[in-house]
Amino acid sequence: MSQYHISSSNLTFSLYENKIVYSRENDSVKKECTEYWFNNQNEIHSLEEMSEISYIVSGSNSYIKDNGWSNTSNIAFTESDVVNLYSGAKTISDVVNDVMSVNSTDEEDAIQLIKDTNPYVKGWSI
Amino acid sequence: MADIYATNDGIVLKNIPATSGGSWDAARDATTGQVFDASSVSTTTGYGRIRIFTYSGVERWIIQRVYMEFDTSGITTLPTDATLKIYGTGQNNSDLIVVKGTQSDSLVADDYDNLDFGTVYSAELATWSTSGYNNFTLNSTALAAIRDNNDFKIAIINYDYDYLDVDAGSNARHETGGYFSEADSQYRPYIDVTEEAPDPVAFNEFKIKNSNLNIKKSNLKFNPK
Repeated sequence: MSQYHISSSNLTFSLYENKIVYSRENDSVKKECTEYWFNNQNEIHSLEEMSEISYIVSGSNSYIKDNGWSNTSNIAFTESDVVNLYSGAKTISDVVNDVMSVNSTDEEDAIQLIKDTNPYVKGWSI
Repeated sequence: MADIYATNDGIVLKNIPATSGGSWDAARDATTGQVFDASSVSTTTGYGRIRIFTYSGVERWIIQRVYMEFDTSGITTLPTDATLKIYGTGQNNSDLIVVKGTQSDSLVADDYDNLDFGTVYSAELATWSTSGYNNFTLNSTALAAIRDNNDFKIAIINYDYDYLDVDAGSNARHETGGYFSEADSQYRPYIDVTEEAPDPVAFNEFKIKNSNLNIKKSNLKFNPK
């Protein structure tokens, strides 16, 4: 897996024993990126940014949810989450068709709206 | 004439549902959004997008703003003219205007509101070609900014709703398509800047040392670049 470096704050993120850890330049100590750390720092500005980092470092963009961070139950990190969170949908096609229907729009626009509304999701099938 | 191509271009998009306090005002007055760089923006709908729609039974508001900048460090005199040129494609139902951008040198989510609605760089562009370059004539404020700044930063936004701050209503779709800097060179955004040529230098007598060349009482002039 890759490392992720933020040059402005000399922070480097990497994977260690299946946990995302961070270290600062000139400091060999690696510390785990916990929810407590996230809530008490000001270098990563959003869950979206943290999700992006976790995707680069661990290959999974659902790391936050998988590790039990709070307030993530209504956020879609995978296409399955999109389906599960969409009222009455069982497949991603159901989501596309309902967005098309309720907004009287075409498939291309509906897919764009779904992706815009779920910015954490990687690897779309649509 | 100088053609200067856009850099650091992309969009910052705000997408907010009614369940999180969403409304027209909440979307327009937001301070942060989602960033999409030039390589990941939809060219068919990327410019000045206003989209109000229903998703899983909840109304949502999207306002999308384009930011870009141009290296104008080589321009130190007031240009006589400048035109922003955007190659259109896809949709063409969002009228656009150019205003001053105050975005970061590398576009971030907090740049969503880093624009100055009060510093207008062009008139509204109400017609849009989807198969050629569209020309924004830049005004005197923009010309001065080109002269005075090493980086000329702009935001391109929807005119009728975002710029004028008019609620676009339910199920609204206003989108215009255009290319960004990742496109092939013949489609990339650029500004065409015309600088006034300096006055020519006239000579009453022109001699070259250690030669017999001596021109007098002619109309000899040199045009400095």
